Amino acid sequence: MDLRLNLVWNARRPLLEGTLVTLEVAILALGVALVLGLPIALLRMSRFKVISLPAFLYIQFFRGTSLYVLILWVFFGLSIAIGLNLPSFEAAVICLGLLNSAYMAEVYRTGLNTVGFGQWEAARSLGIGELPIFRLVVLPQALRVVIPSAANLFVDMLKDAAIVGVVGVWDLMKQADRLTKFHFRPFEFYTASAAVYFVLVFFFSRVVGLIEKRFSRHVQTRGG
Amino acid sequence: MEFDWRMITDNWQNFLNATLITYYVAALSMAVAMGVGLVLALLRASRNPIVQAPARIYVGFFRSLPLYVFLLWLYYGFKVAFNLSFQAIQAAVLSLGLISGAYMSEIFRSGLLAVDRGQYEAGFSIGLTMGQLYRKVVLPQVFRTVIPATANQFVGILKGATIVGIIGVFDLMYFARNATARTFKPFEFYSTAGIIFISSTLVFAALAGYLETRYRWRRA
Amino acid sequence: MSEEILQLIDIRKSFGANLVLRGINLNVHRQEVVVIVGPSGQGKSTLLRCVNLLEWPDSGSVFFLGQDYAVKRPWLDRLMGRGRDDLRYLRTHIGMVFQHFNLFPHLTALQNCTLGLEQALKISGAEAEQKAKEQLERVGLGDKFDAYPDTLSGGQKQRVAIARALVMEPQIMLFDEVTSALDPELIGGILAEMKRLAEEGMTMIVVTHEMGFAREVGSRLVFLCEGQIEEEGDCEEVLRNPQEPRTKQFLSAILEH
Repeated sequence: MDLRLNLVWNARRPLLEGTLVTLEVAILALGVALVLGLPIALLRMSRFKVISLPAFLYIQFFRGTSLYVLILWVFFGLSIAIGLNLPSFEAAVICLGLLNSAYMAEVYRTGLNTVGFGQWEAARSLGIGELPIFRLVVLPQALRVVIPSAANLFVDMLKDAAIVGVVGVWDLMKQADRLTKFHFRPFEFYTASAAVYFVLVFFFSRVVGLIEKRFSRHVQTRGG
Repeated sequence: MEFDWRMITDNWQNFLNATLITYYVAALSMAVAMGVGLVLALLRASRNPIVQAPARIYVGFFRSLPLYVFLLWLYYGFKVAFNLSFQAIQAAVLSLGLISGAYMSEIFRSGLLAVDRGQYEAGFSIGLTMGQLYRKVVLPQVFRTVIPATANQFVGILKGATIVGIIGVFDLMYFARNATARTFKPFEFYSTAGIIFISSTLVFAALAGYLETRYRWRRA
Repeated sequence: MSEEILQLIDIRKSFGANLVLRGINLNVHRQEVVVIVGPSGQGKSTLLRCVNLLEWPDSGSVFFLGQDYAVKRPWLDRLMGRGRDDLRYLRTHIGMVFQHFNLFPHLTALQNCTLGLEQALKISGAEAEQKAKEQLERVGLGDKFDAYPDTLSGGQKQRVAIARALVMEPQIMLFDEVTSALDPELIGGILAEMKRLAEEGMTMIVVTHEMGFAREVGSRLVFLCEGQIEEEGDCEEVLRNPQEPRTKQFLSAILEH
């Protein structure tokens, strides 16, 4: 086996640029998911079926599809159908973001549910209004559960984002593809890509660990 | 925007075949994943850190590897480096199976841990060997516990299997891409593919939910 | 007899098909300590919660200082937030202590006490802290201002809960089985706090199983059974000489201990 690692080294610039693009997509998509997930979760938790049902369907829809199916449909299908001409980067961010907003909604829902009803009652009994209760009492406690889960979700999103090259985003894999076709050395470049992913996942998993540790202080499971 | 229904009706047979291929890949991968997962879980159940180590490394490794990367590496990279070529379907099943095996091992592991100590003690006290104990007492209970999580994992595998068309497996998405290239009607084909796919995952997810409730009260 | 501060008139409440409160009438005077006893699950907590409207009665009135707060406004009004000020007035003048403490785990003891001041009474900063510290010192937790609830014992948590309610300077204090979740050796401490409060003249409504407390501190006893007031009267009287058969039954069972 004749290994030409120097080729990889020489191509470090485009590979690095691709990695940055991958990270950009994942981070922006995370933003979308975090922002969209909360209102969806709140709608889902509503007492009124009229409000909770669409939210439920939204969640089921996006949890039932894969990024690949969604992104092809949005980028190729929708663009012909309704003339939506999304550039590939934006399409990737939106699809990855929408998809994971459904998962985040479930995470938010779990987090909010873990805050015991007694917390609401105690705050109400002091005369505090509903919105301040949510902001100052419930949400801080919910976030203790939400943030570690969200961090874990991010690592998964990073892995999922590997396919965005199929719609033309110049991410790590697309750069690796191009280099492979140029040099006819798929092994070296795909191995390099795998190595980059290992580093990224390892790094962010450590971050997740630290986050989890920091957020499990002062948390009790019962009334408090 | 008009929806060309003829595209669908003319191609329903192709859709069906392609969908079946997707299911087939997913099923085979599931089988691989379960086999791998079980072995890994048993390894990790050992007290011996030397026996545990390869399992832990495997799980850490394959949980950090994106499916797409591994798939391309197996199908294109492997053959050039090691002179061993996989057919597209083999590469697909192998990559899906090995990666999912890491996740399955975690599922089996928690299932194993959930089996009460007392079961082992009772088994030993009636004279069973470790092997008999596992086969007749422990594993049957483990399977009951892990069935819902396994069904969920299958949904995950199904989602992963959507990308195998990229290396040429004639699955649902490959057909959609092909047909689009031929007919320039991406919306019709991708929408139909999408609907077929989501229906499948919803059915299996519902099955997983049903299994979860069914097996909840069966545990002694 | 001092003035009437609270009147509950014909309070009814159902949960689904379950009729929990079947027409409760209760008047509370200033400085009274009303002790509500009865079998579990038959409406005592629900009744208490109707006083500060954590539960809304299906029908009936809750008169506090002459105004009926249990008035259901049309939903449009509620959506617009009218009536919110009334509710806040009610709740900031009635304090409640819960069985499971319900302290805010992400806030220190001091912050638990200042939150209500800041949010509901719009008292902030140094003034709020000053008041909170006073109350915490009065319940004996002057050294625990910056402690988080998970570092406190059950008794200490309940004291913080009491301080949190008292700092709002309420006219009535509600106690919902506040010793039931405590280890036996900590119960006495909390009951002593409550006794101190009563001696200082606080109007209290206490749901409890602690008959010793009722006898020592209570001024009026209410026996609630199956959602109705079976018997009510002077604490010592009822405990010594219960009239109704079910009251007798309940008291003899519980005083066996």
